[in-house]
Amino acid sequence: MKVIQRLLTQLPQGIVLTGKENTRPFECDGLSVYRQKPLAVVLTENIAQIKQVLKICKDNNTPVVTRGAGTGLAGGAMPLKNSVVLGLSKLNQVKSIDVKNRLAVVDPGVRNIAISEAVTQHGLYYAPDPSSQIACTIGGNVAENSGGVHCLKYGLTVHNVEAIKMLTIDGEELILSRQDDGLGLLALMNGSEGLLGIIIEITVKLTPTPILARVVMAGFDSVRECANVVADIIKAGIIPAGLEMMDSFAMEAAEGFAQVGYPLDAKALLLCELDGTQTQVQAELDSVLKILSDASTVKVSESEEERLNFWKGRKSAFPAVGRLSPDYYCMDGTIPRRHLADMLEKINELSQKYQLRVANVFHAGDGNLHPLILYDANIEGELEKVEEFGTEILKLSVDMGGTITGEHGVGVEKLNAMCHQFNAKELAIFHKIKAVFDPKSLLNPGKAVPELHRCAELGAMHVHHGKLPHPELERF
Amino acid sequence: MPDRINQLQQLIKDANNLHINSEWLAHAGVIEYFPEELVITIKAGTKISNIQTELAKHNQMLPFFIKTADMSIGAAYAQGAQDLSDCVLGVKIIDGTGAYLNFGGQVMKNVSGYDVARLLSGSKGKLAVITQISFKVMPISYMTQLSAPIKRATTSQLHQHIEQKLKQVFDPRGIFN
Amino acid sequence: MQTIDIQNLKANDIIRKCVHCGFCLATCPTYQLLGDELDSPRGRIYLIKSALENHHFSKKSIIHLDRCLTCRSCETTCPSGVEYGQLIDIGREFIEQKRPLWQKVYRYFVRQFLTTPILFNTIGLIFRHSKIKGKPIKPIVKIGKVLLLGGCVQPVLAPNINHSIKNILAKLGYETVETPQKQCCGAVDQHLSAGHDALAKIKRNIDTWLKIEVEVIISSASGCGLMVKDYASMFKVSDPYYQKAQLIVNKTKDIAEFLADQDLSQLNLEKIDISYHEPCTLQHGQQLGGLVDSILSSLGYQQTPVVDSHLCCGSAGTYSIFHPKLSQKLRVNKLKHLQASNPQMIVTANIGCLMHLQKQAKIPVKHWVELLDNQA
Ligand SMILES: Cc1cc2nc3c(=O)[nH]c(=O)nc-3n(C[C@H](O)[C@H](O)[C@H](O)COP(=O)(O)OP(=O)(O)OC[C@H]3O[C@@H](n4cnc5c(N)ncnc54)[C@H](O)[C@@H]3O)c2cc1C
Ligand code: SF4
Ligand code: SF4
Repeated sequence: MKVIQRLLTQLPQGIVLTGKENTRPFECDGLSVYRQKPLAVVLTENIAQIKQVLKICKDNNTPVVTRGAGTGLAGGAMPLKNSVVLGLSKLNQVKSIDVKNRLAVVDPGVRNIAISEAVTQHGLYYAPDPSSQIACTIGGNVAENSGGVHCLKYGLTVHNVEAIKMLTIDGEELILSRQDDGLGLLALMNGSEGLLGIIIEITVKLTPTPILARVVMAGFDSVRECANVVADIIKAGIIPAGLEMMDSFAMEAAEGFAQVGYPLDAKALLLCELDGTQTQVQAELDSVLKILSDASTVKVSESEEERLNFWKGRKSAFPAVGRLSPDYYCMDGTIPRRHLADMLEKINELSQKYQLRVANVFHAGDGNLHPLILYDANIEGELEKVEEFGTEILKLSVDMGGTITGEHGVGVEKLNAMCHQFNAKELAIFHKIKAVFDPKSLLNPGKAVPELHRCAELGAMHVHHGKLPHPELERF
Repeated sequence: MPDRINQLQQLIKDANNLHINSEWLAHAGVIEYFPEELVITIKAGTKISNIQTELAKHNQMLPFFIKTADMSIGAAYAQGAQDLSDCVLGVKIIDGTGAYLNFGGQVMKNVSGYDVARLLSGSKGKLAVITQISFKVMPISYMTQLSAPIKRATTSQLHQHIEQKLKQVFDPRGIFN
Repeated sequence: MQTIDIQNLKANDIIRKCVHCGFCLATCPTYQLLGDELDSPRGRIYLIKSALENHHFSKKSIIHLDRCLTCRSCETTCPSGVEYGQLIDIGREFIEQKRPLWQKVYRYFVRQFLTTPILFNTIGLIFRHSKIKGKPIKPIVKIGKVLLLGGCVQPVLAPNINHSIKNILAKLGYETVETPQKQCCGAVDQHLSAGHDALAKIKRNIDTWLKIEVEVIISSASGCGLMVKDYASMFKVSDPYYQKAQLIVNKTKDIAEFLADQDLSQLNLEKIDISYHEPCTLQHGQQLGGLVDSILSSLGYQQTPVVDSHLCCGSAGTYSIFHPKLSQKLRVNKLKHLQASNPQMIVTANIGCLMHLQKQAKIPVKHWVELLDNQA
């Protein structure tokens, strides 16, 4: 292969991985049922090397798949056939901190939590906190516009990025800032899933650490009651710093790892964080406790240690589910909050229909659901059943006025569901936007936006069989 | 599909040169407002002051800097500002071919497809006709003093080139001026 | 995670538990230094999975398994409960056949040197860290008797550690018996994939120790303690040694566990500013993180939290011999964080860490129990 040869000769020894054996561990991201080995993996150490990789790939018409930490849950960083994986994990320096203006300039491979760790001495932190924050990279966060537990009050990644430097497929540098007069190009890059350019430097906004933060942990006898309380809190004019729900299944798994002391006999758990000054927190706490009068158990964190512990369980809930089942399929639909209770009941019905267990753990305040469908990938046919189940949930989300993905992105996983949310003309606009940046379609091609013929075939199949086929990954 | 939208689509299909403003748009009013969802959906020709009156009834407000409440929300969106863009959840537009398109929605988080709803904020009426916008709103008690955001014209040639190309995506016939 | 036809059932179970979330990347010392998935826990699990699934496995991958420190930081992090430590042992055993001959020979000699007392004791004296300080004390009242494990290298390199422990125990009313045979617990062999030799040593240890009538077996080197606590898992349940090993395991405690339940107010403390390095074998292996810290602070030692205290110092058994560069880097980082608060002394809980850190530290490095037996 010409590409491999050029990579090997033009880049330093040791950063280019080739051959099945050493590229196989890169064949998937956090969604490991979808796999594809790349031609090569390059773990670049600086911008010049990234440019070189882009040039070599462009010259040879070879697709490039950018990879941060590979924690994505939609197959965004899954390699494509005959592609080169551009790994950015070695670029992990916090370059500068501007305390006065509350900004930090960081490399794309810096882990989300490492930013907060680097600025904590100045009484600051980086607010968006995906549950994967200990491992995922800021570049990946921008590429997915990641959310987190604290995004209800402090915004998503797009709200907390001041500027980025990116490389186009031609290797040209482009700086995009919130202050640019004109089109919202910076916002466009947020959530672009590696299809428009390589993000090589990020200026993030920092938030002052609140004087006080406390978490209320409430157990409920029914999921519906818990979901209604979520709406009631917002209706009361309170914007909690975080508002999260878990059902009993998710609680059991999280407790198994973190030993938090969750009320395991409850059907649903609410975690509500209030932050600000002492008086603000007390006032909000009083109102919230009133709203929680029907809860079966209520506990308020009494120390910073306890508060972090309450969150530790929540934040590790996805992988902790690995204790209950060898595999899970994580959905990410977002719906208007008022439909939460109905949606959860529908999911429960579907769970019975498909005879597959579901653990729910999600950003209730944002209406962003994460039903985890538990299954066993070693059993033949089970994945297909799960995909069908998942598609039903996503369609329900769209029908309720919501969206198929709130924060995890489309990747390869939700391509079919995209056909349900967008019509052909809207999808065509997406393809044209990509062509503006990447006319030869070399950056993560085939991901995030389905080809029009795929949707057409899907539509036709709908009519003929009344059910969806499984995604055919090899088609890219 | 509402009548006015049909009319607008036809007008656009027939036009060779259009300057969009709220009088021409003639499309105003609140479409949906869910105070407990913190979301309001408005037709683009609606005056900001009217939106403010509506929100104030529920102790809520548009959480971005407003220079003059006398202009339409569509105009403010088209001029663009970072804090306004932050609150945009979704838009419906008619592009230069007359196609009526929907991007984003009424929910707080949405990463399906590219973020066209925020891309077009700042498009100065040159890419498409914005017919309706959904915003995230906030309780008044959570808002602090808002100040005018800084804006800077870009000098990068590449940047300008990309903006040009994006105009062609939405307005291939070059009718919006 | 999905697996395809893995014959080793234990390995299969462990791999299936991994959901490929990547959390463990964040706390793995080698991934932190190298930024390569292949040098991360998740990557190594994948390499082992591939090997066991009968894919090609060559010396290209051995290096990545070798680079693993077996610090088990990944296990502490893993929300899914993946028993990485057990998997890497299986993986290493499996790939041992692929190792080039020269490496096999080199590793054999290092192993023999460290675990053969006659060889090590003579040469070890040259590297001796510290001598015994003060006189031994005899218990006045006797409330119990304990067996104190010698460890294979510690008595030669830093005899004062067990000397201090004997004195402390004496003051608390315990008589100490020391292991008659100064013999390795088996850890060195085990980590160099010489399971057979390890097993021979383990059986001999079990037989000898069972003959001594004590309620508690105390280890002062957290590395050895961890190995001994793992004895039972080395045998099949049907093996007669399984029961015997279980008896030993139930009795074994790290010195910190033993002292945590005791009234330490009568001890003569050395008053000095310290910084404590928690060995991986204590926090990740024995899952006793924070215990020594709490004992020390209850005794009045003030400490500022050490940055990245979950990361390995680079000693990791024989690691510093086989991977000097990585080991060095980890030590430099570790010492920087340990000395950030300008302490006068670093204390730790494992002889390996102690010797390794001392090589570059400007201030003395000691076992924390030595603080509790002040001879001045
Ligand atoms: C247990 C678990 C919990 C999670 N919780 C959350 C959560 O609460 N909220 C949330 O939003 N997500 C969550 N995620 C999903 C995931 O962690 C995020 O999507 C994260 O942002 C991915 O970062 P990464 O560095 O791992 O990116 P990768 O997975 O490596 O890549 C993700 C995508 O971004 C692209 N990309 C990566 N870096 C760049 C770059 N520098 N330039 C251009 N494109 C790039 C890739 O091509 C790919 O399409 C979770 C995942 C797991 C496994
Ligand atoms: S943290 Fe556990 S489940 Fe997640 S990748 Fe690592 S070993 Fe696997
Ligand atoms: S044992 Fe330590 S070095 Fe080995 S994979 Fe786990 S964390 Fe990394």
